[in-house]
Amino acid sequence: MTRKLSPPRALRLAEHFRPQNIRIKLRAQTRDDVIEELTGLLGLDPRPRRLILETLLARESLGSTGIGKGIAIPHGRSVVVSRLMIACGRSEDGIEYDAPDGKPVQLFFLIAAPPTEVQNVYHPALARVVEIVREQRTRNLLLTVADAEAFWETLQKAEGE
Amino acid sequence: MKTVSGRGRGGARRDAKGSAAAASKPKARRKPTSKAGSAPVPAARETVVDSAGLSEETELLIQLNDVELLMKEHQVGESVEAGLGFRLKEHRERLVILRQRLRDAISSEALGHFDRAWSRYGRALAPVSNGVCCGCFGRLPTSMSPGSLNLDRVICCPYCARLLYWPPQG
Repeated sequence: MTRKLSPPRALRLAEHFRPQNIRIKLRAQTRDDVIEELTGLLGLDPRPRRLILETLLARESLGSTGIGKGIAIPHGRSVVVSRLMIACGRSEDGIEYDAPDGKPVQLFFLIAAPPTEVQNVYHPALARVVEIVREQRTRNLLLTVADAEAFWETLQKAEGE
Repeated sequence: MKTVSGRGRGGARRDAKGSAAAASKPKARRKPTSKAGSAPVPAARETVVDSAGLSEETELLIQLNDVELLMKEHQVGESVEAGLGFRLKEHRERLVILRQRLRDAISSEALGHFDRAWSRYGRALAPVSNGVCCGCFGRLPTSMSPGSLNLDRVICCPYCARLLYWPPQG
């Protein structure tokens, strides 16, 4: 008897976070503060949260995770995280982030992952975010939606396209 | 300190029975006692372990592990992220300084365990989940439940020698 193997499923970002991991009006005004605020949306206990924050800030010291066009994707791996975690945020005024185009960043996608994974989803998740926000229409929608639910639904729809 | 149990996997099986009871009723940490007439045993160094079961030294080891991992992933010219369009600096002084600061703050004993595990596995720490080392998936003896261990000391897996830590539940 032969067993049918289903093809590997494409990574769906929306499966790794919920509207409660999104903040539409970020309060932070600096790069470090915005990363701290986003880390708070991951739902971790205080000490693991502080440890992942240290790792994300250490990653920033290697080079800005701003990719231009008002987007930044702070990311890192840490042993305090047991699965891929994503948090998103939007800043009304934009934050100076040392992005390649020099523009302030308004949309943030924080990605945290464990050091080793059964299925490597960390780099595919990074690539997926870059791919989605490359579309100007999606970026404009994400900048204008009213609440976290609409933000999450926009990302989900953009993934399906 | 490396806490290696002399028992093998048979002992671990026996321990599995008692793990639920141990989890529901954690043992109180044993206080140092002195023999009658002898000088009182000085109080042990104050342990700083919070509800998450992370001692200060374990926190430092976790940070060191993360920094080592970051440096390994971003070897110049080998980074996947560079291919995704992230700009990476070639100068990593800040990370090197951070790593040295962490290494200076960690005891030489813990650092020895860390370096051995890192060179062997490329990852020195492993979380414990339901009494199982998530590095080698060996079931730990009940004597290594967080309630019965002195968590201000570095604990190694008796099977793979990775440094263990107990992440908060939930």
